[in-house]
Amino acid sequence: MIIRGRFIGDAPYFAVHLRSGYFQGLVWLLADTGASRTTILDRDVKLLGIPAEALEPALLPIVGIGGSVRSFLIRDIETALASEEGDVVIRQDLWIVQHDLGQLPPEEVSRILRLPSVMGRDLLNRFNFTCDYQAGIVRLER
Amino acid sequence: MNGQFTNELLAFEDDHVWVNKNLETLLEQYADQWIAVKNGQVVASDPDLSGLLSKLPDPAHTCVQFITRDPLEMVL
Repeated sequence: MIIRGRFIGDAPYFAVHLRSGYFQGLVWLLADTGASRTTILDRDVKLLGIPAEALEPALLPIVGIGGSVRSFLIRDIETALASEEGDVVIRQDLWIVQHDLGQLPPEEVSRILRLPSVMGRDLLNRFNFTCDYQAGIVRLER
Repeated sequence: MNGQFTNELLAFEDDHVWVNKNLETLLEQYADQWIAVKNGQVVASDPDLSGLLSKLPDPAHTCVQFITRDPLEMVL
């Protein structure tokens, strides 16, 4: 079973469909082996319309995303990816990071909203992950 | 291929790739704006993300990108 990703510029991305009791929708995730957890950032929180009642404050601190942020956990999200044989569905917790956009200058807000959500090792390591930019191959396989 | 989400996911992927491939053309009309793309067509645009979302019937199932010449260097 192979899930093919795409390069945008030199960066590997995968599309996923997320579904919980509170929201559902599509997210374009940057594959990031430096991230321990799959994390949804500000823009996609807005696009998905994730309500505050879906968010459980995260007990573990998140290091690596700059500025003043609030981190949350959403448990047991259905995460679907497209493989050559059809949907691959996984259930896992997701992290949410929100910057305090109301306290930042507009140019900083604009930069933060451009940041992609990331597919971290919690999801990548469930597969054999290939990222070969020279060959144009990015895929998850098992 | 079959599945509840596969076709929608592949179309969503294609829209993101389309934006990247057509960036120079999009910059002529939408520089420093958010755009929404469905099936390889720009369906809405706005300088403000919230403004764009208010124009979309279903933002959670739409490719949304910011069009700019300014690179965003990321060390995540």
